[in-house]
Amino acid sequence: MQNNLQDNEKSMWFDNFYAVPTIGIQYESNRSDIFTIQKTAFSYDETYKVECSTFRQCRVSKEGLEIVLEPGNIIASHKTHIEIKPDVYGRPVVKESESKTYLSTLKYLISTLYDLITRLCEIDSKNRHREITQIGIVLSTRMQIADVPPGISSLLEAQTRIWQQKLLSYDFRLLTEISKENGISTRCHHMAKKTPEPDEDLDFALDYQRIYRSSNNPNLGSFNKICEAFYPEAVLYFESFGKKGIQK
Amino acid sequence: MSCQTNFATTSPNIIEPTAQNYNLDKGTEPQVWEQDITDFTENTCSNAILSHIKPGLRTLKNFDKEKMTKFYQARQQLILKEIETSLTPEENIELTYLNWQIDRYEMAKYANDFNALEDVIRKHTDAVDVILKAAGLSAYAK
Repeated sequence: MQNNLQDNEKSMWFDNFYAVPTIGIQYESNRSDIFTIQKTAFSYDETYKVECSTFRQCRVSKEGLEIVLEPGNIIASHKTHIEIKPDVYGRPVVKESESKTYLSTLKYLISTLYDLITRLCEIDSKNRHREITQIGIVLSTRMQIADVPPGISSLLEAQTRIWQQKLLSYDFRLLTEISKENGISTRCHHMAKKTPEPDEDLDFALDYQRIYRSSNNPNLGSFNKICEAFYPEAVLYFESFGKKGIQK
Repeated sequence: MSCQTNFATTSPNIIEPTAQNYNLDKGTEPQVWEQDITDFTENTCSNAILSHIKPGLRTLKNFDKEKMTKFYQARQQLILKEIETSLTPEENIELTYLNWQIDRYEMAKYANDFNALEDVIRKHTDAVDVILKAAGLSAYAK
């Protein structure tokens, strides 16, 4: 599957847009883990911004990267990093610092999460054996209605068929189960939102999740192994959905 | 406004989106939509702004000539097959997708040329209007 992904690495539909990734991990934990989380958050050097709210969560951020740590939850996301500089007339000019595809940003997020989990396990070795209950990869983007890829277009057209006319606005979330076996369920949320303004863009997000409900769930120590197998699946589903959508 | 931590749901039957979770202190909508908010903090920018900076910029950066050549060749093969015999439903989907990708690329690549061409057309149309007006005629008169 990864070979297939490498072939398409720079030619996916979402590479036409500013698509940003988010990764979420849910694992078994208890409220007292906040102390371990705080220690982990403050183990980052001063180039990172660390904010901790007592007994609730910690945020670690740097140049578009944001990691949110809570007992039982780790969520990492990345926004596009840009620089805003005035030109000779003093007007703000927006410059993208580096061109990054969705996939390269996602790989960066995975390596960042791996580093974070290693820190978490070094601070408290018990964390290595914490069971992962859910893992999810999100693709969220914004596009002009005229630029919507054929797969997403088919999904939106299916909604319009009910009324036989164009919809002015919508805000929906469709959840489908892609597979379910041996207590492992794979699902995907499909989210679309558009306001009634005719020139307004479409917000679109896909959230590919794996839920572990088996007696032999993976643990945080095996995160890298799980993620290496999981992320190509998610990305290929995103690509396939943009291409085919709900067409048979 | 406070938000619930939906990701760490205690009920095993409720599965919430991965990203709908951590705006606890911000009191905003879920993160997926949070990117719509104009946010220039820490030099990061929302998708809402980026999508209006220059449409097609991302396409030009992420799709190189070599890749596009492959797209053009694949499309040509499918079109030839369509003319000679017929396409399977999968091939039809592939052709629609390739057309979409090529459209995005060409629009991004030639957008400036089209804008310049539109300017020339507009200038010429304006000039004709001025001449006709001076002559007491209307371009739209029957």
